[in-house]
Order: sequence, then C-alpha cells, then structure tokens
Amino acid sequence: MSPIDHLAPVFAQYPIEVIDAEGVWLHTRDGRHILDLYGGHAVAALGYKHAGWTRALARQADACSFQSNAVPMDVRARAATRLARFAGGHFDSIFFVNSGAEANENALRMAFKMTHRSKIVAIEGGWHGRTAAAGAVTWGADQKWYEFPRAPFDIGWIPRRDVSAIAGQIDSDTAAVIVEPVQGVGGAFDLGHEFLAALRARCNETGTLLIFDEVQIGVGRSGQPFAAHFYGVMPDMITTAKALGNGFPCGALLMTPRVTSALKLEGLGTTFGGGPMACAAIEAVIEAIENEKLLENVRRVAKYLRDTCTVGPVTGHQGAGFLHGLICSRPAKDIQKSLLERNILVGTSGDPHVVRLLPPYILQETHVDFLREALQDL
Amino acid sequence: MKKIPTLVLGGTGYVAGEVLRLVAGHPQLEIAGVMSDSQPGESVAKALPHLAPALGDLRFLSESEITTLITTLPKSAVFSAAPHGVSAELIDKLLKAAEAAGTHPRVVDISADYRYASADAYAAVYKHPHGAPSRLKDFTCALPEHLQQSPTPHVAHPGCFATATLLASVPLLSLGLVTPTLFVSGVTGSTGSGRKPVDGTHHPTRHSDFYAYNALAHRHAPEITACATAASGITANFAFVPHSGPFARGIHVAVQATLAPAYVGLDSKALLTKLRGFYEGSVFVHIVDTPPRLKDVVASNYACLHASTDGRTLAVMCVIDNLTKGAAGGAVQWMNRLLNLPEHIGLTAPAAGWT
Repeated sequence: MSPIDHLAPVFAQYPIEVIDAEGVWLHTRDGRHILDLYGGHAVAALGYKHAGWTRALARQADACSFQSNAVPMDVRARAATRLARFAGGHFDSIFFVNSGAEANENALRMAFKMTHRSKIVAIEGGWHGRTAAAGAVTWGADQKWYEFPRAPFDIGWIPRRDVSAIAGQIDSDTAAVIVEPVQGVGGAFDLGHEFLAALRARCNETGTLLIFDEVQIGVGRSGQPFAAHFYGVMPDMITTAKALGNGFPCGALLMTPRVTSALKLEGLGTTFGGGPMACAAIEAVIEAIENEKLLENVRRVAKYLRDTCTVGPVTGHQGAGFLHGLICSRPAKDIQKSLLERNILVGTSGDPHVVRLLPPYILQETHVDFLREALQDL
Repeated sequence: MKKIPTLVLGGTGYVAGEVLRLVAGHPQLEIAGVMSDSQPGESVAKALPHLAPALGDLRFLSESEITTLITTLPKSAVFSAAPHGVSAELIDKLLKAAEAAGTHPRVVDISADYRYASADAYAAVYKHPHGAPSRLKDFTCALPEHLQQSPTPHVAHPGCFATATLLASVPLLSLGLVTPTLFVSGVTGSTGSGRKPVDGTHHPTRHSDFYAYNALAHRHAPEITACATAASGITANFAFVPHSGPFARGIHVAVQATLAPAYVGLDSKALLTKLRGFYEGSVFVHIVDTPPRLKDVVASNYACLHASTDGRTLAVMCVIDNLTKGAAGGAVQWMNRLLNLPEHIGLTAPAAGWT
C-alpha cells in the first residue's frame, strides 16, 4: 500500500506535528508547547532559533553554499582547527563526513589499513549505525535489520563492563575496538572508567586501535568536550556527529598523530563532508558551547536532574551529562506516552525500563522542575 | 660516511655543554657551529673548559653566522638549548631561512618551547605568548622510549623531571596497572637550576641541605600529564613534589599509585616482569632488582628503574642524569632517529660510577 505522503513507511510517528520551535520548546500545529528533552536524537545541542548558529548558516549560504574538498576554503580550515582545539590537542587531524555511521565506517577502514588485521571487537548493547561496516558492529542488528548476507569482517563481542572478557577477545589479530563510552541506544549506559581504561591497556598491549564512537555523547554532551576527557581515557580515533552541526547534517573523524601519519592522498573521500555550510554550522556550535559556557551548564543541570528527579516511577539514574537515563519501575514506552500527554518529549532506548533524555545544552533547572512535577503525577 | 654537521643554539648553558660533550664523542655528528648571541667570537673552550680538548679554538657564532650555515649546509643537525621563550622564535627564524634556501636541517629542541600541542597551553604555563605558534605543528614532544617514530620532522624533548617521571609512570598507565592518580616525589641535582647562580640554588645554601619546592604547583606538571596521555592514552592526575638535592647531577624519582582492581594482589616479581616486557628493546632503560642509585647513571644516557608492590599499592623508582638522559642525551637519541642512524650510537658509554 502506497503511503499518502510518499514518505517511506519505516518510522513510527509521534502524535504531534512541530511547526516552530524556540530554545527548548517545540510548538505544534494544534497550539501545544512541548518541552524537548530529546533534541531530535541528541542533535539540537543549542536548542532552536539560536541566533549565532542561524546567522553563521545564513552568512555562509549568502557567501558560497558549496565547494568540494579539492577547493580550499577558510571556513573548512577554521572548523577543523576549532574542533581540534576543542578536543584539547590529543587529535591533530579531522576528516569531515556526513553522518555518524560514515564516520565509523571510515574509522574502521583506517584501522584495517594501519594494522592489516581481520577482526573488530565491539561491545554488547552498542550501536554504531546503519551502513555495512557500522551495522556489522551494532549489537542485534543481524537479528533485526542488517539484511546483508554476511559481515565484511570478523567480529568479537565483549559484555558491557566485563573487564575479565577483554583479554580473551582482543588479540594480535584485532584491528580495532569500537565502543561508545556511554551507550546511547543501549540505554544511556555508562561503561565506566575501569572498563574503558582496561580496553585502552589491552589495545596498547596488542597494537589494536581504540575507537570511541561519540556520535551521541560527544561535542559537549558529557559536560566535557568529549567523553574521552570525561573518563580520562584517550582513544586513537573519535567519531562524532549529531550535536556537531546542531541540525545541519555532518560528522567528523578525529585522529591522533599516529593515525594521521598513516593517511595518504585519496585514501579517504567524500563529496558533501566538510562542505562550507556544514563547517559554518560546526564552527558556530563550538563557538556557542565555549562562549555561553554550556559545558558548565550541562554539568550543573545534569547534577540537578540526578539529585532531584528520583520521583514517581523513577528509581535511579545512569549515563553522563545530558545523555541521561531514567531507570523506571514501569515500561519506558508507557512513561514516554504519559509525559508527551503532559507536554514533555523524551526518548526510549534498547533497555525497556530506561527513559532516555538528550536535552539541548541550554536546559535550565526550571525545566527540570517541570519534568519532576510531571513525573510525580504519573 | 661523511659526518653530519651539527649546530648548537644557546651555547654557554649546561645543557649546550652536555650536547657538545656528546657530539664530540659521536661517530656520525661533528660540531659545525655553536651560537651565543651574548658572546660571539669568544672561545667556546673558555666558557666550557672541561671540553677544551675536544673543541680546540672553536669560537661562538652570532645568529647571522648560524643562519648562513643552516642555509648553505644541505643537511644539518640542530640542537636548541636556548632558554624557553627565546628558542621558539629563533628556531622558527632559522627554519624559515632554511626553507627559503631549500636546505634540510633537523631540529631537536631541548627548551620547553615546543613541548605543548597548542600556543594556549604553553601560554597558560609560561605566562607569556608562544614565540612561533604556527611552527608548533612541526614538532612532537615525546620520549624516544614511548614513541616509535616521530610523525613530525622535528622533535621537542621533555624536561628532565618529566623524563624520569614519564619513564616510571607511562608503563603503569599504558599497561593499566594502576588507578590514574600518581604521587610523584622527585629530587634533582643543582645543574637542573641552570648556569646562572640564584640564591636558593647557590652552593653554600644547597650543600648538605635538602628541601622541597613548588609542591603540587611545579610548572612541568601539565607537560608530564600531556606526554603521559599521548604515550598511554590515559589522562592521569600527577601529584608532583619536587626537591632540591645536595648534588650536581642526577634525578631520583619515586612514583606511587594504587593498583587497578584487576591487578590487586600482584607481586613485585610479576611487576618487574611487566616493566621488563614494556621496555624490551629499549637500549637505555634497565629494570634492576634493587632500588637504583644516582651513581648507576650519572654522566650516562641510561635510566635505571626498580619497582615493588605490596599487592595494593606500588612504587617505582627511577634514576637518570638530568643533563644527559633528561636533556642532551635524550635529544641526541632523537636526533639519531631523525637522521635514520641507529638510535644508540654515541650514547652507550656507561655511567661514571664515582663522581
């Protein structure tokens, strides 16, 4: 049966239609004002109608909307330099792409190129994207939607936080370990310093590259520039997207000097990645995070959320910063539905009892109070 | 094979003196020029009398004479022991001149100027702007034991306290043996304070005395943290208390930390085996069975490490010569690599033993 609006019928739809938005509020066609604690899957980092971001895109659209990576553009160099500085000096080159999945695809490619090995190790519950390589290391994808006849390489799995399983899986044939330091789809599940440091140590020992998939948690969501800083564990590559463009599609692969030195001309490529509009958006996002002290805001309000919202069906909290999981005594789907009726949009996750919050970094205590009052009501 | 002409900047200081001493005994390097802008034309041997037999009537050169050399020698080895705050700009000027002339010098900077990844990080520690921010990308700061190959054409050598601390700490972090807070107690000899006498480091004050300074506020702590992160992937908290020791050469560092949960119960023998495994193939690092002494390493490029654990915490002791392994020797080791020479040549003479 053909859909009436001609959109491929693959997404379940929320019962709201957004026509306008400002700050952390969505305005619907039927006149409701909804507090957005989900940010369109962690994308709307600066909220809506952010003046600096809008101005940067308008200015770039007016100046030059597109040129390929073969043509040097100052805005591209500025975005890369700004992102590298934001990441604090450990990463010296950046490859811009279109999405998180594409960033992961290229990180895995670099690992195979550098090591000439045949296996990738991933973490149970992890999510890395819908493409062939990223989907192959996404937990459960083969059962649900992967569809390709086989994975493009060997894969080993480590249970979450299981330090004792690390040595058995990561060996001298492992090209890379790919891990979300805080699993997003897995339920805002924080893997913890001990587990991540043990992965780093085993990778050091076996010459395996460590890839942090920070597509959801990166670019400030943890309250630090990246979760690598939050945990004090530095990978060889970071992949990121989502918040990076605040809604303008883009992604990035951050590489340490060791990886950078393995790059060669035409070894990686893209048409749209690093486009001037995307780069203007990236520059504006980092500028806003720095100038408006949004990392401090994330840390403060995330703590307030954790300290004050163990109410109603909420029995506990997990995650880091604004990748926040409310552990609930009732199914997360029911709570999501009830909250939306009370004008609050939240997400669910792979864990049926975890409600996932991915709010814009500008969220304030008063918004948390609004959530708490609604939760108390449930 | 013809020897590679070598230029030394910052010529009258202790570190420059040590570079000259090592180059004098190096089979593939030879001194082509020593720069001192304060004493051009003066005899080098007069400033560094212990080197007189090796230097003959070598005279200090001015910056313009060094520039002439660097732009005419097709290939040269350049060591900068110029003071921090001066080195960055001087090196940048010389490299620009070389680039314009099409010559290929390799630089190892022993000053602090190229040890930081960004000009901001440098300015935060040294309280003045970096002299050549655009040149930072051409330098990597690491110990040769912790980085196989420099991704950049030039290298910055970590400081002497950093060298000893990193040699002891990086294996602990890299192998995941400890939780990431390291307590470091370091003692340096008086040569670490440089040639210019100041009250606190003057011989009558320092002799037969022992004291700490800048506890938990030493300016090299951020450099240690950054180098350890780059080498191990773990950002650790270094609680560093430096001391002034009543001897001229040498650094003794003791690092203590809590064993990571996965290693609780580890014994000292297994710990020493892990350290030996980590430094396998490192010519200049010896893991020894008893706590090392300064005289095991003074006037050599060797480092001696010993470690013990009670199953809950561990301690690693490391000794180096601050001027050799901690500065000039480490710099020659890097230069050997940058010039595709065997890493160890010119550096294998053992310690003096009695000083």
